[in-house]
Amino acid sequence: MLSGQAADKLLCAHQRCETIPGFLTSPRRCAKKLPMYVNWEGKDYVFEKPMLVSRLLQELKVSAEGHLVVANNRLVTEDHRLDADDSVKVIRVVSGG
Amino acid sequence: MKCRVCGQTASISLRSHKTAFCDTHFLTFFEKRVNTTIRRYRLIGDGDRPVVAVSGGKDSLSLWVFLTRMGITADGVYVDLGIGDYSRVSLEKIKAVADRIGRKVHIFHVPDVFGRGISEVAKGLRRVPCSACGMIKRYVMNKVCMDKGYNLLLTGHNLDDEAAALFGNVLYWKKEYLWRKDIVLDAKDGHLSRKAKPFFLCSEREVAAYAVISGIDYIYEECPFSKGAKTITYKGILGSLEEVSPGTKLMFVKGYLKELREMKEMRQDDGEAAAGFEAQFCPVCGYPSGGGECGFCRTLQKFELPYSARFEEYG
Repeated sequence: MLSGQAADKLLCAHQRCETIPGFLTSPRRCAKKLPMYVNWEGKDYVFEKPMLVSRLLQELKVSAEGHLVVANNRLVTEDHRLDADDSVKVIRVVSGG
Repeated sequence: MKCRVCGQTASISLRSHKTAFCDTHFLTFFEKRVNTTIRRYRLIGDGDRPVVAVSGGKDSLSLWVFLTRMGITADGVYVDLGIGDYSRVSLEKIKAVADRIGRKVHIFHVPDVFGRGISEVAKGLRRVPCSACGMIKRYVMNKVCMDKGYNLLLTGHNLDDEAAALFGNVLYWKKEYLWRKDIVLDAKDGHLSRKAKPFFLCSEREVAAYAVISGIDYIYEECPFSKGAKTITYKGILGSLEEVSPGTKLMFVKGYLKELREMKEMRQDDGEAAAGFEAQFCPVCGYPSGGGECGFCRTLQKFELPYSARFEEYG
Protein backbone atom coordinates (compact mmCIF):
# COMPACT_ATOMS: atom_id res chain seq x y z
CA MET A 1 0.00 0.00 0.00
CA LEU A 2 1.39 3.40 -0.91
CA SER A 3 1.48 6.30 1.50
CA GLY A 4 0.19 9.65 0.27
CA GLN A 5 3.69 10.96 -0.13
CA ALA A 6 4.88 7.96 -2.10
CA ALA A 7 1.80 8.11 -4.29
CA ASP A 8 2.42 11.78 -5.04
CA LYS A 9 5.99 10.97 -5.89
CA LEU A 10 4.90 8.27 -8.32
CA LEU A 11 2.29 10.54 -9.79
CA CYS A 12 4.88 13.24 -10.48
CA ALA A 13 7.32 10.82 -11.99
CA HIS A 14 4.64 9.35 -14.20
CA GLN A 15 3.61 12.69 -15.60
CA ARG A 16 7.09 13.00 -17.10
CA CYS A 17 6.75 9.67 -18.85
CA GLU A 18 5.99 9.14 -22.47
CA THR A 19 2.80 7.31 -23.32
CA ILE A 20 3.40 4.38 -25.65
CA PRO A 21 1.46 1.11 -25.99
CA GLY A 22 1.84 -1.13 -22.97
CA PHE A 23 2.60 1.80 -20.67
CA LEU A 24 0.39 3.36 -18.05
CA THR A 25 -1.62 6.22 -19.39
CA SER A 26 -3.49 7.46 -16.35
CA PRO A 27 -1.68 9.09 -13.43
CA ARG A 28 -4.52 7.86 -11.20
CA ARG A 29 -3.86 4.21 -12.13
CA CYS A 30 -0.19 4.86 -11.72
CA ALA A 31 -0.73 5.94 -8.11
CA LYS A 32 -2.99 3.01 -7.29
CA LYS A 33 -0.82 0.21 -8.58
CA LEU A 34 2.84 0.04 -7.79
CA PRO A 35 4.38 0.06 -11.24
CA MET A 36 7.89 -0.68 -12.40
CA TYR A 37 10.20 2.19 -13.25
CA VAL A 38 12.52 1.90 -16.21
CA ASN A 39 15.09 4.45 -17.27
CA TRP A 40 15.89 4.28 -20.93
CA GLU A 41 17.80 6.83 -23.04
CA GLY A 42 17.61 9.34 -20.19
CA LYS A 43 13.80 9.15 -19.82
CA ASP A 44 11.72 7.45 -17.17
CA TYR A 45 9.07 4.95 -18.24
CA VAL A 46 6.51 3.22 -16.06
CA PHE A 47 5.15 -0.26 -16.71
CA GLU A 48 1.94 -1.61 -15.20
CA LYS A 49 3.54 -4.67 -13.75
CA PRO A 50 6.88 -6.37 -13.24
CA MET A 51 8.08 -8.62 -16.02
CA LEU A 52 10.98 -10.61 -17.42
CA VAL A 53 13.89 -8.68 -18.89
CA SER A 54 13.26 -10.30 -22.29
CA ARG A 55 9.65 -9.06 -22.17
CA LEU A 56 10.79 -5.56 -21.20
CA LEU A 57 13.13 -5.42 -24.21
CA GLN A 58 10.27 -6.59 -26.43
CA GLU A 59 8.00 -3.87 -25.02
CA LEU A 60 10.63 -1.26 -25.71
CA LYS A 61 11.15 -2.78 -29.16
CA VAL A 62 14.90 -3.00 -28.74
CA SER A 63 17.28 -5.88 -29.40
CA ALA A 64 18.82 -7.94 -26.64
CA GLU A 65 22.13 -7.95 -28.53
CA GLY A 66 22.32 -4.17 -28.61
CA HIS A 67 21.26 -3.50 -25.02
CA LEU A 68 22.16 -4.30 -21.44
CA VAL A 69 19.73 -4.19 -18.54
CA VAL A 70 20.84 -3.06 -15.10
CA ALA A 71 18.54 -3.70 -12.13
CA ASN A 72 19.54 -2.19 -8.79
CA ASN A 73 23.04 -1.46 -10.13
CA ARG A 74 23.59 -5.08 -11.24
CA LEU A 75 23.62 -6.47 -14.75
CA VAL A 76 20.84 -8.98 -15.33
CA THR A 77 20.21 -11.59 -18.03
CA GLU A 78 17.12 -11.90 -20.21
CA ASP A 79 15.50 -14.55 -18.02
CA HIS A 80 15.67 -12.35 -14.90
CA ARG A 81 12.30 -11.33 -13.42
CA LEU A 82 12.20 -7.63 -12.55
CA ASP A 83 10.34 -6.62 -9.39
CA ALA A 84 8.11 -3.60 -8.87
CA ASP A 85 10.52 -1.80 -6.62
CA ASP A 86 13.59 -2.48 -8.78
CA SER A 87 15.47 0.45 -10.15
CA VAL A 88 15.88 -0.56 -13.79
CA LYS A 89 18.05 0.99 -16.45
CA VAL A 90 18.31 -0.08 -20.08
CA ILE A 91 21.67 0.74 -21.65
CA ARG A 92 22.18 0.96 -25.39
CA VAL A 93 25.59 -0.46 -26.19
CA VAL A 94 25.89 0.61 -29.81
CA SER A 95 27.91 3.75 -30.33
CA GLY A 96 29.94 5.41 -33.01
CA GLY A 97 29.65 7.59 -36.01
CA MET B 1 20.58 -18.44 -16.17
CA LYS B 2 23.61 -19.65 -14.23
CA CYS B 3 27.27 -18.75 -14.42
CA ARG B 4 29.16 -21.43 -16.35
CA VAL B 5 31.98 -21.37 -13.83
CA CYS B 6 30.44 -21.08 -10.37
CA GLY B 7 26.74 -21.80 -10.90
CA GLN B 8 25.66 -18.51 -9.28
CA THR B 9 23.06 -16.30 -10.98
CA ALA B 10 24.55 -15.04 -14.23
CA SER B 11 24.71 -11.34 -14.99
CA ILE B 12 25.43 -11.64 -18.69
CA SER B 13 24.75 -14.22 -21.36
CA LEU B 14 27.06 -14.39 -24.37
CA ARG B 15 25.20 -16.13 -27.17
CA SER B 16 28.15 -16.00 -29.56
CA HIS B 17 30.17 -18.01 -27.03
CA LYS B 18 27.16 -20.11 -25.92
CA THR B 19 27.80 -19.26 -22.29
CA ALA B 20 26.85 -17.04 -19.35
CA PHE B 21 28.84 -15.56 -16.47
CA CYS B 22 28.43 -13.85 -13.13
CA ASP B 23 30.19 -10.50 -12.62
CA THR B 24 33.43 -11.97 -11.31
CA HIS B 25 33.80 -14.66 -13.91
CA PHE B 26 32.81 -12.37 -16.75
CA LEU B 27 35.68 -10.05 -15.79
CA THR B 28 38.04 -13.04 -15.75
CA PHE B 29 36.74 -14.27 -19.12
CA PHE B 30 36.98 -10.83 -20.72
CA GLU B 31 40.46 -10.03 -19.43
CA LYS B 32 41.76 -13.45 -20.45
CA ARG B 33 40.43 -12.99 -23.98
CA VAL B 34 41.99 -9.54 -24.37
CA ASN B 35 45.30 -10.80 -22.96
CA THR B 36 45.22 -13.66 -25.47
CA THR B 37 44.62 -11.16 -28.30
CA ILE B 38 47.52 -9.01 -27.06
CA ARG B 39 49.86 -12.00 -26.96
CA ARG B 40 48.73 -13.67 -30.19
CA TYR B 41 49.05 -10.51 -32.28
CA ARG B 42 51.99 -9.10 -30.26
CA LEU B 43 50.17 -5.84 -29.62
CA ILE B 44 52.13 -4.70 -26.56
CA GLY B 45 55.76 -5.61 -25.89
CA ASP B 46 57.73 -5.46 -22.66
CA GLY B 47 59.63 -2.30 -23.58
CA ASP B 48 56.64 -0.43 -24.99
CA ARG B 49 55.47 2.91 -23.61
CA PRO B 50 51.80 3.07 -24.66
CA VAL B 51 49.32 5.93 -24.60
CA VAL B 52 45.56 5.37 -24.80
CA ALA B 53 43.34 7.50 -27.02
CA VAL B 54 40.45 8.32 -24.69
CA SER B 55 37.12 9.86 -25.63
CA GLY B 56 35.08 9.45 -22.46
CA GLY B 57 33.12 6.55 -23.96
CA LYS B 58 32.94 2.97 -22.70
CA ASP B 59 35.54 1.50 -25.06
CA SER B 60 38.45 3.80 -24.42
CA LEU B 61 37.86 4.14 -20.68
CA SER B 62 37.46 0.37 -20.33
CA LEU B 63 40.71 -0.14 -22.18
CA TRP B 64 42.48 2.33 -19.90
CA VAL B 65 41.17 0.61 -16.77
CA PHE B 66 41.90 -2.85 -18.21
CA LEU B 67 45.54 -1.94 -18.91
CA THR B 68 45.98 -0.60 -15.39
CA ARG B 69 44.52 -3.84 -13.96
CA MET B 70 46.96 -5.83 -16.04
CA GLY B 71 49.85 -3.78 -14.69
CA ILE B 72 50.46 -1.96 -17.97
CA THR B 73 51.02 1.70 -17.25
CA ALA B 74 49.58 3.96 -19.93
CA ASP B 75 48.76 7.65 -20.00
CA GLY B 76 45.81 9.02 -21.96
CA VAL B 77 45.33 11.53 -24.75
CA TYR B 78 42.06 13.37 -25.33
CA VAL B 79 41.01 15.72 -28.10
CA ASP B 80 38.55 18.32 -26.83
CA LEU B 81 36.52 19.11 -29.95
CA GLY B 82 34.65 22.01 -28.39
CA ILE B 83 31.19 20.41 -28.77
CA GLY B 84 29.51 22.18 -25.84
CA ASP B 85 28.28 19.97 -22.99
CA TYR B 86 29.24 16.77 -24.82
CA SER B 87 32.94 17.66 -24.74
CA ARG B 88 32.73 19.06 -21.22
CA VAL B 89 31.07 15.95 -19.76
CA SER B 90 33.44 13.65 -21.68
CA LEU B 91 36.44 15.42 -20.19
CA GLU B 92 34.96 15.20 -16.68
CA LYS B 93 34.56 11.42 -17.06
CA ILE B 94 38.11 11.08 -18.37
CA LYS B 95 39.54 13.10 -15.49
CA ALA B 96 37.60 10.96 -13.00
CA VAL B 97 39.12 7.78 -14.46
CA ALA B 98 42.59 9.38 -14.61
CA ASP B 99 42.27 10.16 -10.89
CA ARG B 100 41.04 6.63 -10.17
CA ILE B 101 43.93 4.88 -11.91
CA GLY B 102 46.51 7.54 -11.10
CA ARG B 103 47.55 8.30 -14.67
CA LYS B 104 48.15 11.46 -16.65
CA VAL B 105 46.04 12.65 -19.58
CA HIS B 106 47.25 14.95 -22.37
CA ILE B 107 44.45 17.21 -23.56
CA PHE B 108 44.39 18.94 -26.93
CA HIS B 109 41.80 21.75 -27.02
CA VAL B 110 40.58 22.36 -30.56
CA PRO B 111 38.99 25.72 -29.60
CA ASP B 112 42.29 26.95 -28.12
CA VAL B 113 44.34 26.07 -31.20
CA PHE B 114 41.81 26.86 -33.93
CA GLY B 115 39.87 29.58 -32.14
CA ARG B 116 36.62 27.70 -32.78
CA GLY B 117 34.97 24.32 -32.20
CA ILE B 118 35.06 21.40 -34.64
CA SER B 119 31.73 22.33 -36.21
CA GLU B 120 33.07 25.77 -37.23
CA VAL B 121 36.40 24.29 -38.30
CA ALA B 122 34.52 21.86 -40.56
CA LYS B 123 32.38 24.66 -42.00
CA GLY B 124 35.53 26.63 -42.81
CA LEU B 125 36.94 23.60 -44.61
CA ARG B 126 33.61 22.84 -46.29
CA ARG B 127 33.76 19.34 -44.89
CA VAL B 128 31.42 17.41 -42.63
CA PRO B 129 32.39 17.56 -38.91
CA CYS B 130 33.32 13.83 -38.81
CA SER B 131 35.85 14.29 -41.60
CA ALA B 132 37.53 17.29 -39.92
CA CYS B 133 37.38 15.51 -36.54
CA GLY B 134 39.07 12.39 -37.97
CA MET B 135 41.82 14.41 -39.60
CA ILE B 136 42.60 16.39 -36.42
CA LYS B 137 42.38 13.33 -34.14
CA ARG B 138 44.75 11.26 -36.30
CA TYR B 139 47.22 14.12 -36.31
CA VAL B 140 47.00 14.89 -32.60
CA MET B 141 47.17 11.24 -31.50
CA ASN B 142 50.30 10.76 -33.57
CA LYS B 143 51.76 14.08 -32.40
CA VAL B 144 51.48 13.19 -28.74
CA CYS B 145 53.36 9.95 -29.40
CA MET B 146 56.15 11.72 -31.28
CA ASP B 147 56.48 14.66 -28.88
CA LYS B 148 56.02 12.88 -25.54
CA GLY B 149 58.01 9.74 -26.27
CA TYR B 150 55.21 7.15 -26.49
CA ASN B 151 55.93 4.44 -29.02
CA LEU B 152 52.48 2.85 -29.13
CA LEU B 153 49.00 4.33 -29.53
CA LEU B 154 46.20 2.12 -28.21
CA THR B 155 42.61 2.68 -29.25
CA GLY B 156 39.37 1.17 -27.96
CA HIS B 157 38.04 -0.02 -31.34
CA ASN B 158 35.92 -3.11 -30.79
CA LEU B 159 34.59 -5.98 -32.88
CA ASP B 160 31.43 -4.09 -33.85
CA ASP B 161 33.42 -1.04 -35.00
CA GLU B 162 35.64 -3.22 -37.15
CA ALA B 163 32.81 -5.35 -38.50
CA ALA B 164 30.80 -2.24 -39.45
CA ALA B 165 33.78 -0.60 -41.17
CA LEU B 166 34.58 -3.82 -43.00
CA PHE B 167 30.94 -4.23 -44.01
CA GLY B 168 30.90 -0.69 -45.43
CA ASN B 169 34.14 -1.23 -47.33
CA VAL B 170 32.91 -4.50 -48.80
CA LEU B 171 29.47 -3.10 -49.60
CA TYR B 172 30.94 -0.31 -51.73
CA TRP B 173 34.12 -2.26 -52.66
CA LYS B 174 36.40 0.45 -51.33
CA LYS B 175 39.55 -1.42 -52.21
CA GLU B 176 41.76 1.51 -51.19
CA TYR B 177 40.55 1.09 -47.57
CA LEU B 178 39.58 -2.57 -47.49
CA TRP B 179 42.99 -4.10 -46.81
CA ARG B 180 44.31 -1.26 -44.67
CA LYS B 181 42.44 -2.28 -41.52
CA ASP B 182 44.40 -4.36 -39.09
CA ILE B 183 44.60 -5.14 -35.42
CA VAL B 184 48.06 -3.56 -35.33
CA LEU B 185 49.57 -0.94 -37.65
CA ASP B 186 53.33 -0.65 -37.68
CA ALA B 187 55.28 2.57 -37.15
CA LYS B 188 56.52 4.23 -40.33
CA ASP B 189 59.60 6.23 -41.14
CA GLY B 190 59.97 7.60 -37.61
CA HIS B 191 56.97 9.85 -38.29
CA LEU B 192 54.00 7.62 -37.65
CA SER B 193 53.60 5.80 -34.34
CA ARG B 194 52.63 2.16 -34.01
CA LYS B 195 48.92 1.63 -33.36
CA ALA B 196 47.06 -1.30 -31.82
CA LYS B 197 43.49 -2.23 -30.95
CA PRO B 198 43.38 -4.69 -28.02
CA PHE B 199 39.53 -4.92 -28.05
CA PHE B 200 39.47 -5.84 -31.76
CA LEU B 201 37.83 -9.21 -31.09
CA CYS B 202 35.55 -8.13 -28.20
CA SER B 203 31.99 -7.17 -29.03
CA GLU B 204 30.59 -3.79 -28.08
CA ARG B 205 28.19 -5.56 -25.71
CA GLU B 206 31.06 -7.27 -23.91
CA VAL B 207 32.98 -4.01 -23.55
CA ALA B 208 29.88 -2.22 -22.24
CA ALA B 209 29.33 -5.02 -19.72
CA TYR B 210 32.96 -4.77 -18.65
CA ALA B 211 32.51 -1.02 -18.10
CA VAL B 212 29.29 -1.47 -16.10
CA ILE B 213 30.66 -4.27 -13.91
CA SER B 214 33.93 -2.40 -13.35
CA GLY B 215 32.00 0.68 -12.23
CA ILE B 216 33.39 2.87 -15.00
CA ASP B 217 31.37 6.04 -15.34
CA TYR B 218 31.39 6.73 -19.08
CA ILE B 219 29.42 9.12 -21.24
CA TYR B 220 26.23 7.46 -22.52
CA GLU B 221 25.32 10.24 -24.92
CA GLU B 222 26.41 10.00 -28.49
CA CYS B 223 28.37 12.70 -30.27
CA PRO B 224 25.65 15.03 -31.65
CA PHE B 225 27.28 14.86 -35.09
CA SER B 226 27.01 11.06 -35.27
CA LYS B 227 23.25 11.16 -35.91
CA GLY B 228 22.43 9.38 -39.15
CA ALA B 229 25.96 8.01 -39.53
CA LYS B 230 26.19 5.02 -41.84
CA THR B 231 28.32 3.14 -39.30
CA ILE B 232 25.38 3.02 -36.89
CA THR B 233 23.10 1.68 -39.64
CA TYR B 234 25.67 -1.00 -40.49
CA LYS B 235 25.94 -1.93 -36.82
CA GLY B 236 22.15 -2.32 -36.69
CA ILE B 237 22.18 -4.63 -39.72
CA LEU B 238 25.04 -6.71 -38.31
CA GLY B 239 23.26 -6.76 -34.93
CA SER B 240 20.17 -8.25 -36.60
CA LEU B 241 22.34 -10.92 -38.22
CA GLU B 242 23.94 -11.63 -34.86
CA GLU B 243 20.50 -12.12 -33.26
CA VAL B 244 19.61 -14.75 -35.85
CA SER B 245 23.05 -16.33 -36.02
CA PRO B 246 25.23 -15.62 -32.96
CA GLY B 247 28.94 -15.39 -33.70
CA THR B 248 28.51 -13.92 -37.21
CA LYS B 249 30.43 -10.71 -36.45
CA LEU B 250 33.32 -12.60 -34.92
CA MET B 251 33.52 -14.96 -37.91
CA PHE B 252 33.36 -12.00 -40.31
CA VAL B 253 36.24 -10.11 -38.66
CA LYS B 254 38.36 -13.17 -37.90
CA GLY B 255 37.92 -14.31 -41.50
CA TYR B 256 39.10 -10.91 -42.67
CA LEU B 257 42.20 -11.09 -40.44
CA LYS B 258 43.03 -14.53 -41.83
CA GLU B 259 42.69 -13.33 -45.42
CA LEU B 260 44.75 -10.23 -44.61
CA ARG B 261 47.60 -12.32 -43.15
CA GLU B 262 47.62 -14.60 -46.18
CA MET B 263 47.62 -11.64 -48.53
CA LYS B 264 50.47 -9.94 -46.68
CA GLU B 265 52.53 -13.11 -46.79
CA MET B 266 51.90 -13.44 -50.50
CA ARG B 267 52.94 -9.85 -51.09
CA GLN B 268 56.12 -10.33 -49.10
CA ASP B 269 56.91 -13.41 -51.16
CA ASP B 270 56.37 -11.39 -54.32
CA GLY B 271 58.49 -8.51 -52.94
CA GLU B 272 55.63 -6.05 -53.52
CA ALA B 273 55.51 -4.59 -50.04
CA ALA B 274 58.45 -2.22 -50.41
CA ALA B 275 57.73 -1.18 -53.94
CA GLY B 276 55.69 1.71 -55.26
CA PHE B 277 55.44 3.94 -52.19
CA GLU B 278 57.64 6.92 -51.48
CA ALA B 279 56.89 8.74 -48.25
CA GLN B 280 56.34 12.50 -48.40
CA PHE B 281 56.31 14.81 -45.42
CA CYS B 282 54.73 18.12 -44.51
CA PRO B 283 57.35 20.92 -44.85
CA VAL B 284 55.85 22.71 -41.80
CA CYS B 285 55.58 19.95 -39.19
CA GLY B 286 57.14 16.84 -40.73
CA TYR B 287 53.92 14.77 -40.59
CA PRO B 288 53.45 12.35 -43.48
CA SER B 289 51.36 13.88 -46.23
CA GLY B 290 50.27 13.10 -49.76
CA GLY B 291 52.47 15.96 -50.94
CA GLY B 292 52.82 19.55 -49.66
CA GLU B 293 51.38 20.55 -46.29
CA CYS B 294 49.44 18.03 -44.23
CA GLY B 295 45.72 18.49 -43.53
CA PHE B 296 46.34 19.89 -40.05
CA CYS B 297 48.76 22.58 -41.25
CA ARG B 298 46.54 23.44 -44.21
CA THR B 299 43.64 23.93 -41.80
CA LEU B 300 45.68 26.30 -39.64
CA GLN B 301 46.73 28.22 -42.75
CA LYS B 302 43.12 28.40 -43.89
CA PHE B 303 42.25 30.25 -40.68
CA GLU B 304 45.51 32.28 -40.87
CA LEU B 305 46.79 30.81 -37.63
CA PRO B 306 50.41 30.03 -36.75
CA TYR B 307 51.45 26.39 -36.30
CA SER B 308 50.58 25.14 -32.82
CA ALA B 309 49.94 21.70 -31.32
CA ARG B 310 50.12 22.29 -27.59
CA PHE B 311 48.74 19.97 -24.94
CA GLU B 312 47.34 20.61 -21.49
CA GLU B 313 48.40 17.98 -18.95
CA TYR B 314 46.10 16.68 -16.26
CA GLY B 315 47.12 14.40 -13.44
